[in-house]
Formats: sequence, C-alpha cells, structure tokens
Amino acid sequence: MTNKRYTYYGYKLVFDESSNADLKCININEISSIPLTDFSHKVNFHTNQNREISLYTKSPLETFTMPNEWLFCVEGVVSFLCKGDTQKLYYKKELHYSDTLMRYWLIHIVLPIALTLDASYYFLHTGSVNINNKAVLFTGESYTGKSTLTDYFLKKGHALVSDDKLATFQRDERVYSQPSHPFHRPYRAMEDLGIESENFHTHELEIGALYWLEPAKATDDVEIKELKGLKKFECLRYATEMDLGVNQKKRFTYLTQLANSVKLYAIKVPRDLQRLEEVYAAITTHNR
Amino acid sequence: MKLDTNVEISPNVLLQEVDDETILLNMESEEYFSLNEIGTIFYELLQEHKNLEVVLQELQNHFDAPKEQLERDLTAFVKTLEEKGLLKQ
Repeated sequence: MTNKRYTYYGYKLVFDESSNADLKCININEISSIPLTDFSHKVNFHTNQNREISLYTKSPLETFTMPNEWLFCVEGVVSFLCKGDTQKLYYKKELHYSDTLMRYWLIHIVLPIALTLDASYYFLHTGSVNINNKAVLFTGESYTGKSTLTDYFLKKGHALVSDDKLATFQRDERVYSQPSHPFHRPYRAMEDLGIESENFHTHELEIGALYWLEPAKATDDVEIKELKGLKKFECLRYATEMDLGVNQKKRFTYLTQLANSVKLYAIKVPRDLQRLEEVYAAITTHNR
Repeated sequence: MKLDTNVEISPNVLLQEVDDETILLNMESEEYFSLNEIGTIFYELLQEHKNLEVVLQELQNHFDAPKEQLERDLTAFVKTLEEKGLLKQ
C-alpha cells in the first residue's frame, strides 16, 4: 500500500503483515472492532479537512506516559488504536473508508501524534531541504510561502527533508531532523498527501538553520536578520506542531535547547514569484 | 505591599535560558514571558529567599542603587509576577 523504499519519520511502514523483524518499522494491522476500553479523556481537535477528529486516552494528557493505550478517530472514515506499543498500530474501517484516506490520516496526523505521545520527537511545522548536508528549515505564519519555497529548492536539486511536519530530536547537544515522508504539496488540496518526491533525504540530518519567512513588498530587498531571545523562542513556539499538552516540562526544556542550539533568521521574502531565485541565492549563500 | 511578606513562585512555572534572556512558561495558562538579566536576578532571589525583606537586602548587595528605588522596583516586579499568575503571597 505504501512504498517500502521510503521511511516515514524514520520508520518503515508495514501493512497487514503478522510480524516483521525490522526494529525500525511500524506495523499497521486491520481490526474488526475496537475493544471496549475506558477511554475517559477526549481531546477534540479543530475540524481538519472538514472532518471531525478526536484523540481518546485513559488518563489526561498532562499525566499521560507511554506505554499506554490511545485511540484516534476520523469520524466516519477510520479509527486508529494503539494498545501501548507505538510500533504496533491497528486501524478499523468506518463507513467512508478508503485506503487512500487511511494512508493520508496515518501519515499526516496519526504517526506524528504517536511519536509525540511516546516522546520520540518534537515536531515543527516547517518545510525543510538539504543544503550542504544540513537540514535547513523554513517556517512562518500561514500563507508565507513555506511550501512554495521548499518546492523551489527541490526544483534546484536539493533533497526534500519535510514539506510540513518535521520530526526533530537532540543528541550530544546537537539537534537533528528525522525526515518526515517523501511527499510534498506545493498547492492546497483536501486529504491529499501531495506528490511523491524522487529526491527524498531518508536519513537524519543535523539542523543547520531555521528561517522565519516574512512576506515583503514585491519591490523590497531580500534581507536576512538573526533573531534572538524571546523573539526566537516565540517563532519556535509558533512553529511547534503536535502540542498536545503531554510531557510539558520535557518539551519546554527541549524547545529552549533547540533555541540555544540552532540559529534562527528572519528573511524578507518579496511577494513576487519571479524573485524566488534571489531568495534561493540568499539562503544558499548564507549556508555555505 | 509590606516587606515582611513571604512569596512563593508558582510550581506551574518553568524557567529556561535562551541567549541572554530567561523564558518563563506558565504551564496553566500556557503563556510565556521573558526576563532580562536584571529581572532574572530578582526572580532567582525571590525563588531562593521568598521573604521580601531578605530579597531587598540581597538586592542591595547586587546593585549600586538607593534602597528606596530597589524597594519600588521589587514591589513592582512582585506585583507583575502576581498578575501573570507566576507567584503568590
């Protein structure tokens, strides 16, 4: 169902097979019914892709730790169950189920939730590409051109690291990215993973820099300015994905470590697609 | 505000340094705040000594400023922290 050449947040996905010896894989198997469990805590998400989505747990997320059971429901489409082991997930088909929709929700939302709940990664909402063997991240408010800029770098031959949710983690006081999945979507569409990139970076990469995209007038200069302190923290906090309220202390500490380990720059991006080449040149020169 | 008051930093507050600033996160409200170097000294003294009179004495050891000014700055600082839910008397 899913191309086994690629990893998804560092894991191979194995569908409907009884077992797999690969330690870095997530098995996803169909079940016909969800066991009766006391999922007394419900987290309502904002309506997503016009679907009602909810996460159910047995304890409040403030005190939630793995191993633990959880259930994620996309109303009328599919439910995902974890019985305590993130590497063994189960799905139950609902009335409007399709393989395509299951795959979309699994890759786009359920895996980031699973890997946040078990504290594997800290997710950022960024486009990201490989520049000189470092992951360079693009973030900003909505409609600031993250995907457009990421797409431009892909067309220039840079490998994709992430087009949306980037898994990050710290090791030996350095911060790394775990490439998310091979899809990129330089357009807006509902329940669509996007185009599969042939040039997807499949291994962890140290994070080199993060750019906060600031839309500017079409005639403005491309300018890069380093951000520090609270402003830097605010940008990283804004870029945070999967902020479920779980592991709050650990996540706050991680975010400040990230802020202290990675340079963050604001870049003025003129609102003119013809000038993307200048933005590209400024960023690549800046990362030599 | 009387100086013979004991204050307590809320247990819901997390603190970490970023560059030259201290970031405080109120886990209840999920609001965050920044302290500069001087604010960080005030905050750490409050955390350590709790009693405002003792904190004021310590501030006099740290800063070359009139006692009255330090007292005004301390009470204003405590009031702000209280308003933000970061500290209670």
